[in-house]
Amino acid sequence: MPPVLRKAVLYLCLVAAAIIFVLPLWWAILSSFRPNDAIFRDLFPFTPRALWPEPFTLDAYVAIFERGFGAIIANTLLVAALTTALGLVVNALAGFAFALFDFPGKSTVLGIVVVSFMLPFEAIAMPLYTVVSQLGWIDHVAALVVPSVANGLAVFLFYQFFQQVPKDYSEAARLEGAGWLRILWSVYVPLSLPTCISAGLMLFIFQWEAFLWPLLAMPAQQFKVIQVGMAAFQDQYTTAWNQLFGAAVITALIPMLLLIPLQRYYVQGLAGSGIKG
Amino acid sequence: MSSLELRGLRKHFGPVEIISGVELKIAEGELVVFVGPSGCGKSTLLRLIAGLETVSAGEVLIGGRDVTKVDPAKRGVAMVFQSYALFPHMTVRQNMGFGMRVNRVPKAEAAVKIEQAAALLQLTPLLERKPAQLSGGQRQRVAIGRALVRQPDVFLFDEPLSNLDAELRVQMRTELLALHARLGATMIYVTHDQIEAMTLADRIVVLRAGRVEQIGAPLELYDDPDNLFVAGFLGSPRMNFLPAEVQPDGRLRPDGMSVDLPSPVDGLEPGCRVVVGCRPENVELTDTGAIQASIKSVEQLGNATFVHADCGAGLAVAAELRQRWSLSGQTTLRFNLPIAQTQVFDADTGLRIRK
Ligand SMILES: Nc1ncnc2c1ncn2[C@@H]1O[C@H](COP(=O)(O)OP(=O)(O)OP(=O)(O)O)[C@@H](O)[C@H]1O
Ligand SMILES: [Mg+2]
Repeated sequence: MPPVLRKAVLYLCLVAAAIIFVLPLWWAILSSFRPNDAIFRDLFPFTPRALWPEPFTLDAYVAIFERGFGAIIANTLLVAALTTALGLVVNALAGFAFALFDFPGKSTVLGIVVVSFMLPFEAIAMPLYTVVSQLGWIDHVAALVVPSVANGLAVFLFYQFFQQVPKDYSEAARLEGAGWLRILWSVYVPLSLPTCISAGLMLFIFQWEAFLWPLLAMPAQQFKVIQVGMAAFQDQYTTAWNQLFGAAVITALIPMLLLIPLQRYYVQGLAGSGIKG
Repeated sequence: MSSLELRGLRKHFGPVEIISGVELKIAEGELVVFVGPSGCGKSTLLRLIAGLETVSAGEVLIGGRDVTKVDPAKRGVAMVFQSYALFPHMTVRQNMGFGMRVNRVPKAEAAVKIEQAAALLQLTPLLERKPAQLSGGQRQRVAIGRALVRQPDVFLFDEPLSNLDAELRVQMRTELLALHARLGATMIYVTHDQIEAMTLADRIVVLRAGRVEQIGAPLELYDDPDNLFVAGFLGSPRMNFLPAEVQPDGRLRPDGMSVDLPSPVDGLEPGCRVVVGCRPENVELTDTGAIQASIKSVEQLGNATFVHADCGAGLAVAAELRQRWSLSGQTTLRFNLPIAQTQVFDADTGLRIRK
């Protein structure tokens, strides 16, 4: 086969693969712009019109927000932002302690931290529920935020990065009179921005995708977060498919808007970027 | 500017003793160099003085004050790290001003101090750069500048020049000496480069395996070493050592040779094992020399010539000549060890035998 032809075949395969992956996504997006009764119209039998939003309407989005989806987004943003802010502080402090100090039982505690993020959430859901209900937090925002603040993976991420920072930096800063918190804030955090962003995004997305726990911890359903809210679209009335797709699009869009500008750091942070001397 | 004193200083990491009872007094304004082979504990000793390691036993006094348990920042010391440890995300100005920001020195005052230090170290045009945008020598100067603005009582340098190329090292050495003359500050300088030690030091402290082997002015140590280790450590090529036995007449018979050398010290016990030491530049090449050796190699440095020879039984001897010298087919060498320039050491203890 001549090289040009080989390339053509290769690209054809790639395009075909891309279509297979992208098509469902595309179909979901455009379905959110159709009236509910028109969603399955061109699928059986399939016509190419199924790939075009026609008839076009924003009804689904209007309906979603009329049904209080705006408040649900605001709730989730609040929970996720609180968790991210508190989580960055707590997990960075923990990672810093593991990386810089020697204390009895350090490796054991670190091992527990590692195991804690290997455990599936389902395994701790019931014990956690007991603790939270003893604290009287059921149906309070605290039930959603506090248990998610300390995150083993984030601690481990910070620990890994801080450990690679040459000790000379912290010693030089100590000689200059800086305390440990100052060293963390003025030296380690600026050097580990990609790690901070990675950890922050992780905490955010963790909350954004939370479903089981909010369902358990907020039984009154007064304060709904996005995944729970979305599920409600399915069974509350006869399924409003276009609204369901609209909610899904919004749910995906918000973290994406966050991720794209920070993507550069995110990838760098996970790759464990080196430190320029 | 302060004096410094170490009393019975010890440090162990786990069961291993790294510093074994160091006694040292450094006067105000003195520049003292710690030398020793790699791993002998030079950095550890410096870090004990700075307070970056806790002392296992003994005391550290700075300016007469016991600072053994004092926080590193409050000891009045500034340290220049081998890695420089400049904060990579800060400009030169921010790096130099870090300590003053931490200690809430008024901004105007801090700015003046930074400008002064920068001018002294020729860093003024570089103040807004980040460390990554500087050459090795410039980074080195920034690290010194960061120490300088703190106006410490004692400066500590841990192999500050070891990352620089040879030419820059010579230049920085001169600059450091000028700085010391200008500030008159007490300085401790760690290196394993004996040239640096010889050229910089008011006094040298030779360390081995966590012990002080000898303390003294550079030439004092060079001319009058207390033991085999110091004699062998200073000077390049190193001092020639010939194991020998004391004869009944008090003369010294090097192993594997059939000649006796006159002894520079009297009263040696016959049969005693000793080591005769003589520096390469003192080896006297003459055709009538008492000792014969086969030539192994000749190094021509232009200003000097080193001849390496073998006296048999694997005993190597080096000789340094001030004039050009070529082999011209010669394979053996005859030489004398001038009695005034030879030293005798006890073979068992390594200690110098004086008298
Ligand atoms: N934190 C530590 N824990 C255990 N051992 C240590 C520690 N720091 C240093 N050592 C050991 O102490 C010894 C002396 O180390 P030190 O760094 O003081 O040597 P040095 O004289 O500065 O050597 P070099 O010239 O290579 O810098 C070494 O054997 C080293 O392995
Ligand atoms: Mg060292």
